[in-house]
Amino acid sequence: MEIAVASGKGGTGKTLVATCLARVLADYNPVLVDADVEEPNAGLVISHQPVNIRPAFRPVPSIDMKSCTLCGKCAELCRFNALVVLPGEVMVFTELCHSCGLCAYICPENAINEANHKIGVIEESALLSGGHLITGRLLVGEVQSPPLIKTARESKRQDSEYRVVDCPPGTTCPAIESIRDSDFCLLVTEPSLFGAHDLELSISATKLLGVRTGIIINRWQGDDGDIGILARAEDIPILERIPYSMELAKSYARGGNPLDAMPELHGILEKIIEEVKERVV
Amino acid sequence: MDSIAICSSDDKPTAMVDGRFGRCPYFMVWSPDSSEFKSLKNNGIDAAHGAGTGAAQVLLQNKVGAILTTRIGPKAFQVLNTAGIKIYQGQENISVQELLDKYLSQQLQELKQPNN
Repeated sequence: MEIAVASGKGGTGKTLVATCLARVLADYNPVLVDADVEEPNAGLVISHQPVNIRPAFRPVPSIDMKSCTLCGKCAELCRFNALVVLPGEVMVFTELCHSCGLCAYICPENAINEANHKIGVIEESALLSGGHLITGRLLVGEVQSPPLIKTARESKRQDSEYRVVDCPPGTTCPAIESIRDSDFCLLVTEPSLFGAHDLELSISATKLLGVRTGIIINRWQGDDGDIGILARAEDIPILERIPYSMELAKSYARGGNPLDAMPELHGILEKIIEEVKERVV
Repeated sequence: MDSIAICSSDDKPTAMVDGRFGRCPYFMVWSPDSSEFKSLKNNGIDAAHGAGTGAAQVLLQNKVGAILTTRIGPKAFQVLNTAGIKIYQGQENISVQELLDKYLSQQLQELKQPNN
C-alpha cells in the first residue's frame, strides 16, 4: 500500500506526518520516499544510515548530424519548442525538453537518439527505526523534477507492503507526479485561511487523479473552522487532528522524535493507518 | 536587402509595438523590395514553454534578416545570433511604422546580447 502525504500549502506538516508514519510502521519494514526533490528534508528529521547513492537521468534528444536532413519536423511538432532547426544545424534546449520522446519517434531519418541527461541522485538509506528512506535530490540548475520523482517512486517497489511518500507542496507537475497512482492521499492542512484555500485546490487535484483522499488537520486548536466546511462540501473525510503543541514544535526543530514530545501522536497515527486501510481495501 | 520583423500588438502597421519578443501577438514583416508589410501570427503567445525559441523558429522559416524588439531572452537571442539574423533595440509606445522609420533612418542600435 502506497500512501502519499501531500498538501496544497507548504509548511503544514507533511514531513512530520510522513516520517512519523514510517516510525509507527517500523515493524513492517516501510519504505519512506522523499519526493520533494527540490528541497528534500525528511532525512533531516528522521535518523538514517546511508546505504548507496546513484545518479538519475532523463532522456533528451541528441541529433546525429550525419543523418539529419534539417527537414524541421522535430521542431514543428515539439510543443515545448525545445528544438530549433537552423539552416545548418539543429539547436537543442535541454531545459525546455520534457523528455516525451516524440522527436526521436517521428524523425523520418532516425537521426534523433535519446541521450541520458543527469538530473539528480537517488539516495538510499536504512532508517534506524526500521525500514528504508529513499531521497530524490535534484541537481542545482535542473528545472524538470517529475522524471526524478518518478525514479524515486520506482525505487524499492517490491520491498515492503507499506510505502509512504512525502510529496512536494502545491498542485503543479511535481505534486501530481508524487501523488498519481497512490492507493491513498493524506492531505495535511492547518486551520487557517491559507490552509483551507490551498486544501481546496489539492482536493480538486486528487479528485482529477482519482486517488482516494482524507484530511489531517495539524496544529488543531479545538475548531475545524473553514476546513470543516470545506470537508463537508467536498465530501472528503477529516481522518484525524493533531493538536497544536509548542513542545512538539520545539523538539521537532531540534531534530527530536515527535512521538516522544507528544505521546498521543502514536495513537493518532495508528488511527490514521487504520482509517486508510479501511478505505483502500 | 532582407525583410525586417517588428514585434507588434496587432496585425497592421499602425498598431503599437509590443515590448516582448516571444509573446508578442504578431510580427509585422516589412519587405524592402515591395515596401509593404505582411503580418505573421505568433503562436508563441499561447505556448506554456519555449515561446522565444518557437517565435525564433517561425522568423527563421520566413527568412527574416533583422528583428526590431524591445526585450529578448537568452535562448531566442542564441538562435537568432547563430542564424546570423541581426537584432536591433526597439522601443515601446510608438507604432510599428514609426519604429520602422527609426530603423530606416539608422536611429536604432544593434543588440549584442539578450536583455530579458
